[in-house]
Amino acid sequence: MSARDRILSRLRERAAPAPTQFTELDYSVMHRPLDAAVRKTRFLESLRAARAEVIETTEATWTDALAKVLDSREITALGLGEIHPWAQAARRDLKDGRRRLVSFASVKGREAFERLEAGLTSSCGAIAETGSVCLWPDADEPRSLSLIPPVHIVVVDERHIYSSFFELQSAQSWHKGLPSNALLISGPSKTADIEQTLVFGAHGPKALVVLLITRSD
Amino acid sequence: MSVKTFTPAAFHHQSAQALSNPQLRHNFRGAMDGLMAKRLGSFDSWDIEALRDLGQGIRQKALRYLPDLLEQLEANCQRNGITVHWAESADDAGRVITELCKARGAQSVIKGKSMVSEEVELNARLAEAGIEALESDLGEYIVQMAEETPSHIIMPAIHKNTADISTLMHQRTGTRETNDAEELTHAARAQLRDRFQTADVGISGVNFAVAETGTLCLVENEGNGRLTTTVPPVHIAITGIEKVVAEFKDVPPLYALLTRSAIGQNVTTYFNMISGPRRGQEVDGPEEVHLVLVDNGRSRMYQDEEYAETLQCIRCGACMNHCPVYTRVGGHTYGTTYPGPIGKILMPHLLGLNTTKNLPTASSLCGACGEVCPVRIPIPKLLVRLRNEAVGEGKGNIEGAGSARRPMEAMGWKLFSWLARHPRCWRVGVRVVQACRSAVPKRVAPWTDNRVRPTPAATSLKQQLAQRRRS
Repeated sequence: MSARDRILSRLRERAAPAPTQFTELDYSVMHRPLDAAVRKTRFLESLRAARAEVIETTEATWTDALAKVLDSREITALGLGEIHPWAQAARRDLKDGRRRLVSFASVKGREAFERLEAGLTSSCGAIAETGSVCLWPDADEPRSLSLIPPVHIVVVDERHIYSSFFELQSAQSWHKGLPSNALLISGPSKTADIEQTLVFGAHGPKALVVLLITRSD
Repeated sequence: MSVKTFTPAAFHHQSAQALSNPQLRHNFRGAMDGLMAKRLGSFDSWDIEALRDLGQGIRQKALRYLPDLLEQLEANCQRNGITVHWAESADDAGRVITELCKARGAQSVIKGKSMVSEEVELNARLAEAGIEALESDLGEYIVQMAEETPSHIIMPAIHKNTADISTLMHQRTGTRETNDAEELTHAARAQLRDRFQTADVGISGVNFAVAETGTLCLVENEGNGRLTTTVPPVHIAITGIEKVVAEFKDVPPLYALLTRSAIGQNVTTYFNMISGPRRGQEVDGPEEVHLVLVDNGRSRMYQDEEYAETLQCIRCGACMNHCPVYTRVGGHTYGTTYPGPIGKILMPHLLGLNTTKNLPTASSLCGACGEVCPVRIPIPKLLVRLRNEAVGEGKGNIEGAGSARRPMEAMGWKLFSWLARHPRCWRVGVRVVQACRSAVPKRVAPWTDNRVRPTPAATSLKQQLAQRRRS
C-alpha cells in the first residue's frame, strides 16, 4: 500500500458522520455590489492607499501618459508584449528612439533581471474594494514581466472594474479553469518584517503604475 | 552565535526566562497591540460574524469530505501538469523533496515562507543531503541568519527589534549598521536577487489548494513567493492535507478573513494562483511543479470529530496576536513549530502529550482566541479537553494521554469529589480543616512562589449564613 492509500484509508476510517446532509453554505455576505462610479473611486482610493501611482487617462491619449511616466522615471528599457492590443499601441506610439522596447521572450534569465527597467502589461480585470489588478500572464506577457523589472506599469480598463474578488471570479467563471498562473496585484511589493515598519520595495517591483482608461459613456 | 534550542518539555523554564527579558516583552507587547487594533479596523465594513460563519462552514465542509476532495485535488492537479506526492510523516516529506531535488541535480534551493516546511524541518534534511536551502521571506531570512526558528507564524522575526536585526545583518552579511528598516530591507533585496536566479529549485507553502480547479493559492506581500515559484526551473509546493477547499468560490471569503485576521490588511500585495507549470508557448514559469501533501499526524487527529476542528485552521495567527500568554512569553517559549493557542491544541497531536503536556495549561481560558478565530475553532474547549487527556481523564485516543497524571493529585480530587457528595462527612471535614488552619506550612511550593499562603477561613460561608439567620 502506498503512502497515498494509507493516508486516504485512514481518513475514510473515521466513523461516518451523522446522516444529516451538509446544508448549503450561505455566501450572501460576499455579495457587496458597488455602483459603477463608486467602483472607480474606491479602486483609485485603495490603490493609492497602497502607494501605487494611478493615472486616469483615455484610450486615445494613454500612450502619451505612458511616455510621461517613462520620462519622469527615466526609464530607457521597457519590457512589453507584441500581440496584446495595449502592447501594440505602445509600440506604435513610442517609436521615437528615446527608449528601447524589449520583448520579454528575447531577454532570458539573468538579462531580464539586469536590463529591464520597467514592464508593461495588460490586465484581465480589476477589483474596486481592495484596489487589485488581475493578471493572467501568457506567452506574450509572461509572469516575469510584472515581477522582475523594478517598475510594473499596467493598463486597466474602467469597464473591467468589479466590486469584489468574489464578483470577479464568478463573472469570469474561474471555476471552469485557470491559466497556469493568475495573479491579483494590489500595489508595489512591501514588507513589515522588521519591527512592523512598513517598507515598500521588497523583492517584487518597487513601484506599481496603473494607467486607468476612463470611458465617457 | 549558537543555535538556541527550545523544547515544549522545558516550557516552564523557558517562560520564566522570557518573562525576565524586558526587551522581548516590549517587542511582543508593542507588536500585538498594533495588530489587534488593525484587525478590528479592517473588518469595519463587514458583517464579521456572518463572514466567520461562512469561513467556518467552508472549512468544515472541506474537512467533512476531505478524502474525496484530496482525490479530486490530485486528479485536477495532475490534469494541470502538477505532480502530486503524499508524505505520511516528516521523514517521508523530507525524503520526497530531497529526491526531487537530487533528480534535478539541485545544489541550492530558494524558499518562500512555509510553516509546514518548518514543521518537517526541511532545511536540515536538505542540508544532510548536501543541498543548501535559503529562506527568501525577509522575516525567515533574518531568522535563518540568526540560526533560530520563527517566533510567530506570520511574522517570523517579530521577537527582534531593528537594532538586533541591523547587528545581525552586519555580522553575517557585512550590511552597513543602521536603524533604518528601509535600508535593511533593500540590502536584503540586493543580497537575495542573485539567489533567485541561480537556485535550482523553488520551494513554497500553500495557503489554499482548490480541489475543483487544481489550483494552489499563495498569499504574500514581498514578491519573494512569486519569484520562488516563477524563476527556478522546478517549483515544489509543500502543504498539510487539511489545506484543501472544495470550490474556487470558497477562496475569496477565506482570503478576506485571512489577511484581515492576520495583519489587519484588506488585501495582500500578491495573491498568486498556480495551476500548473509553464504551458505551450510560455517562456517562463517552472518546467515542473510538484505538490507534496503532508499528513504527519493529521489523519489521526481527523478520527476524533472534536479534535478534527483544529484542522479548520487557516494559519492567520490571530489567536496568538490576541493571547495574553503569548504576548508575554513570546513564540519561542512554546518550543514548538506552531506557538500560541493554535499550537497548544495542534502540537500535542503532532508530538504526543508526553512532551507537550504543559502547553494546554499555558492559558487563562479567557476565550480571546476563540472569539477572534476567523473559522471559529473552539480553542478554549479543546484546551480543556487536552488538559483532561493529559491527566488521564479523557477518551485517551491521543499519544501520551495520562502522562501528566500524578497519583496524589488524582487521589486528592477523588476524595474531594466523594466528600462533596456526602454532606455529613463534608461537615466533619470542614471542622477538621478549621481546627488545623494554623498548621498550613509557610511555604507551599509552587503556590507560595508567587502568592500568599492560603489559610482556610475560621468559619465557612455556610456557617456564617446559618449564624445570620439565627441572629
